[in-house]
Amino acid sequence: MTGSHSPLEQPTPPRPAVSVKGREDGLHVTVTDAAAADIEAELRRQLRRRAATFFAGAPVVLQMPAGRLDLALAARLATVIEAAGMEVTAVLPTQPGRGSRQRDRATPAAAPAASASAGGEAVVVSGTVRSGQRVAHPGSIVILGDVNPGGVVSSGGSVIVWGRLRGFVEAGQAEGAPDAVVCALDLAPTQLRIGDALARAPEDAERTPEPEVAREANGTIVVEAWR
Amino acid sequence: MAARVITLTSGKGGVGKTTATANIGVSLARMGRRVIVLDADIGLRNLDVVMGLENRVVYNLVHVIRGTTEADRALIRDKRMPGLMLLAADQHSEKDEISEDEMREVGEALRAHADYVLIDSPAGIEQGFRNAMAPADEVVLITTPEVSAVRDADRVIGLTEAAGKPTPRLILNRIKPRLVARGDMMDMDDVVDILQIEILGIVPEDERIVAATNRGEPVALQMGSPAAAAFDNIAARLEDSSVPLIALDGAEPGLLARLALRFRHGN
Repeated sequence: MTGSHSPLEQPTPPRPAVSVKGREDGLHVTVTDAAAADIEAELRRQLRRRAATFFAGAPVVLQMPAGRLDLALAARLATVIEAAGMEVTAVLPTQPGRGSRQRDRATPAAAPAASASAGGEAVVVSGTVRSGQRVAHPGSIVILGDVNPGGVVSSGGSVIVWGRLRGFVEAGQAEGAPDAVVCALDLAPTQLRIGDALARAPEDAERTPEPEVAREANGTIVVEAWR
Repeated sequence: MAARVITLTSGKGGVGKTTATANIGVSLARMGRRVIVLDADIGLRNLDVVMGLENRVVYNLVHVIRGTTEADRALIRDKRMPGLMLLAADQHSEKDEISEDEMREVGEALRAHADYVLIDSPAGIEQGFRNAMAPADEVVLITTPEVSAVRDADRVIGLTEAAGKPTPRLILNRIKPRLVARGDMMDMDDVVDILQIEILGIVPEDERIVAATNRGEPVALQMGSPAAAAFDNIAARLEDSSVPLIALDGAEPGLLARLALRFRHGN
């Protein structure tokens, strides 16, 4: 008696609030409508449908709509993903309104995640790193929140801050993590260390916050737009 | 009904914790609540002086902890304001002579005697601070719009959360609307941007506070002062968080109203 439901009674939404895609670097979970009420249930359903056991232990890139990150939502989705036996290794912005080809080209922002695996497992920190607090991890660190002045983040690999970075960050402290990067939606650290290179924020306070990525090149720290 | 135990703390000293504790106590008592204000700054004594009850102190917090007397007998009832009670600090002990467990016991013992227990925390983040935090159900963080005070406040939020307490709510003290409007005072947005916690109240700088404090008379006892109105508003918002922040008299027109609107929308 499988035909008791007519197709009309189970309409498929044209565009689900969240989609799951397998890629060579792991599973990409993309949130297209952060306001959808049933987003967690939808994610759970999709993970089940994709035979999630196949991806058990796989790194997951969680792509949230660009702009202000809904921390609570990201944390809830990470919980769902972890409950399915997978781990969120990176949280990245999607570029709404762009074509999918361009979005794919925008994924080099996933480069941090890739180099993250070089330094071991990444850890996701939800919330603000406040003055006097220190987050340290041998692998890469993803922070869903701000790093306030006086806060310290110390990582063997890369540091990705979905928020304002105004504290002290050291990245690439592990052996063999030469391509470690530090990126933030607003990169304004008091001091920044990548490998052995040290930099501090420029004195001119007048700047427009924009996502930036810092990396080490020939012993100095180079900062460029993160896109 | 057992009392809510609320600790007022700041990290940095001199931002107005004691004055705020006394005045919020007065405002809550005026609303008909029974309020115990507890001075946890052992080794120093401020709250009884600010409240003008200094010469009535017979027993203090340490006496209660050591069992010298019952909590009820150590409470000093403020005759000007029915319902308002003080448990004073001991000047002759050290902060690390008492433990967090002992403070929790005192907190529990006081619950039966009031609707609110307001604990005035010592400055700093050492043992005295931990003692003051131990019995708290809620934490109120006081800061002035100065970079150093805000930095310390941020540190205290982290410590509060690490101690398993709910995220503190914020009182911005000694706002000078005219300076803010001129851009000479740390922008309110900067404070809220960094701390990212709910605003409980905004208290304008008010010369009457200094005068009243020196007379041992909480300013909230006087009507018509902008700071007193702000403390009344804070008390009302402790009772019911849907009460809006008020735009204060004497503020640049529009500025605080605009702020209040922003905060009300939870930004």
